[in-house]
Amino acid sequence: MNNQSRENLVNDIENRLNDFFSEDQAEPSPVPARESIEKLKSVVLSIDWEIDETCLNDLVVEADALMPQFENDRLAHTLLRMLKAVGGYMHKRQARSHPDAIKRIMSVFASLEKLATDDQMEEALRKKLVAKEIAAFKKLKEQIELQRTPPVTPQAESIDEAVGRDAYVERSKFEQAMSAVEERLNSQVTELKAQLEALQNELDGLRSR
Amino acid sequence: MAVIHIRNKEVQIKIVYVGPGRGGKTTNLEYIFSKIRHRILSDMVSIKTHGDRTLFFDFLPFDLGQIQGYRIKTQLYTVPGQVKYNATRKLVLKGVDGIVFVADSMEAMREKNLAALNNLEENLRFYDIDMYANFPIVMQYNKRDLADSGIPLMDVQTMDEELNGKLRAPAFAGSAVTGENIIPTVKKAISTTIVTLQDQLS
Repeated sequence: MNNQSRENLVNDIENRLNDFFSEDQAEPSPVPARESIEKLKSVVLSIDWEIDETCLNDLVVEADALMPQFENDRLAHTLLRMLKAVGGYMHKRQARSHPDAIKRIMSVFASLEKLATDDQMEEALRKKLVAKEIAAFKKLKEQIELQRTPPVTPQAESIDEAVGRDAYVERSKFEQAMSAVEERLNSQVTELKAQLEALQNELDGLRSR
Repeated sequence: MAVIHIRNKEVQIKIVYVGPGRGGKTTNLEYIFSKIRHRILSDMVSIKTHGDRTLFFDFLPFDLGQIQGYRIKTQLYTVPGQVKYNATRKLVLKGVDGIVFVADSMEAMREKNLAALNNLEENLRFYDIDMYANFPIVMQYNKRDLADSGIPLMDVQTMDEELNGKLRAPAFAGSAVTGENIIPTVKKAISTTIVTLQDQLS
């Protein structure tokens, strides 16, 4: 480990230990909502830049860490739960995630940021904002559920195949029968033509006498 | 040796508080627990004898959070200090990643401090650990508060020369009863342990 890496590691450890053992533990002072979501914001921005496992994990951790602080704010708490759920889903499904999941994260965080920073926002507007996010979240959930609908079972496939095969057999039989009828009719028409030609010859012979 | 789950990005480290009997190891852990109890999910486990002495060990696990993407789970242990419980001490030291040596500052405890340090060296050697070869150790000269009660104490410099002359480990003069330098001791123990672990892995 080079000196720079070691220095960074030591700094990170000291910062974490200072946070963990900080003196405000007995009575944690309330952190303004604006400041408390800064960490979450940086995680969301980093996801916007590049989606990787660490960022998604951090998103879940940060959303989880903010839950107690927003426990009394039902609307913000709902948005945090949504962020955690979508983050957890993307972390689990990774590249197989629904393409709209990342948009949900961005949108939910933007709404959360509005709620946390705009003290003047009316309650009705706050509710409307969250209702919109809930509706979009439900829609995404439905789309994901649809993606997850079980594939056609092997039995069903075989039934389909069998039906298809039978239909093919019926059609080919029909075509064979039709061609047989056509052949038979053609030969009869030929015979009739020949008979007609013979009768015509006989008639011509009688006229010439 | 620390337990490292690469897949879960999780590191579990074990730090053991050792030192002479009645030196304040358990009080150290109790103080730490009192400071962090509201933010950890786990409890402190103590197994004591009738006379309130540590029979087996004290155990305080907690999740420190993430450092450089890895979740650090820390386990603090104490060992019984009494000489007769050496088998237990040896057992608890199995898989140790870092040590806090809690020395008793009372003059009367001078020999016992040295005996406990020698015993630690022997027990670590049992696990092929040379405590003088960059093994993470933090020294704590405990019970400094007793000076106010008129109890004769060794001065810190003397203790440092006698106990830490060869080790040259980070050292703190403190008091587990008043909490003086208890948190800095555990912080130093955790940081040196993680840095040493990182050195070993890289």
